Amino acid sequence: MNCKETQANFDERLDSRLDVAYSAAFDAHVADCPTCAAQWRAYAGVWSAVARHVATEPSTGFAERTLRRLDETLTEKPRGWLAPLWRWALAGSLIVTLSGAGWLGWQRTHHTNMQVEAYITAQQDRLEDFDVVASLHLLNGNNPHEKANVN
Amino acid sequence: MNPSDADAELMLRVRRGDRAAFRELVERHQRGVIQTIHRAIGDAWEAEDLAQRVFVQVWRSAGRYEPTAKFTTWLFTIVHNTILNEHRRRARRGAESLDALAQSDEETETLGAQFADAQSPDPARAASERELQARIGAAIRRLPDNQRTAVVLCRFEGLSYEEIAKVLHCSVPAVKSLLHRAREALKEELQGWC
Repeated sequence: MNCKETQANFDERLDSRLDVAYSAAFDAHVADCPTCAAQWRAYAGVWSAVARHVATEPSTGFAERTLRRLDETLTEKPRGWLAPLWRWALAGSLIVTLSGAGWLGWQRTHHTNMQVEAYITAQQDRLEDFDVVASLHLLNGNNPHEKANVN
Repeated sequence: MNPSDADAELMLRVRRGDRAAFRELVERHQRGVIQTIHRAIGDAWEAEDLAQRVFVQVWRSAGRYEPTAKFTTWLFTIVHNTILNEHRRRARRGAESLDALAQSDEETETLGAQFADAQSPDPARAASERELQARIGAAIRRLPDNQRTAVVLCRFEGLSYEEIAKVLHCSVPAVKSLLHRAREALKEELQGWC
């Protein structure tokens, strides 16, 4: 085994994933090669230090507390269902209210517009009627205004 | 019956609503679950709280468990997802960052440890060991999520590369790559300490 092959197998050796023969060849090379030996010591040293890391132990009564929590969770009101229902109801009523207000507003605007249009049309009709009468008088050589003034 | 079969048997009972089986499962795996979470978030109290959530999730999801899957693989998938969710939740909160919480926990632990050091026959050595422990813990926590989970499951929980690949939903070569990068990062972080 050469240096390149040895260093490529550091992880496998650390995790004991090399077969017995390969593992022996790895160890033999590391024993003979100072460069690989130094690198292996640094690599394996970190891993063995990490292995010494102590994490917290479960506190007394953890299993009982977990069972109590399970009971609490199972007896909890189904907020997951209700909360969205309330939200949907609120959103629905808001949509209905806004739609209703919008429709009423549109109705009123529409009605007013129609009244304005009717008024304008009536005024235009009257003006047109007047113009027709005026033009008839002009055709006859009579000026209705003058007539009115005479009268 | 091997441990894996025993877990599968217990899970089948849990699926039928057997609380005694559930309790046994909790007792069998509480240490691994709590320690994996503790190594990820650095807060012992939070680790127990999250571990309880994991076990409640195990009960709720029992119906979806298939005995073809190894129980520990299934369990640590829930643990990994719970840790990811917790990290996201803390990232959203912003101010109470992960490091700040971990640091406060370490400070609390330090007070107790300093008292223990003073009682030790070799206080200097005990203090140095405590500092090394704190550095290793911080270095593990600083690893990216997938690298940290791979390291913890490989080094502390004894899962195979194949099992870790299932937990992380990736290939075996990807697990090897995660472990290699994690070891390189730890070597950098702990230079001069090991």
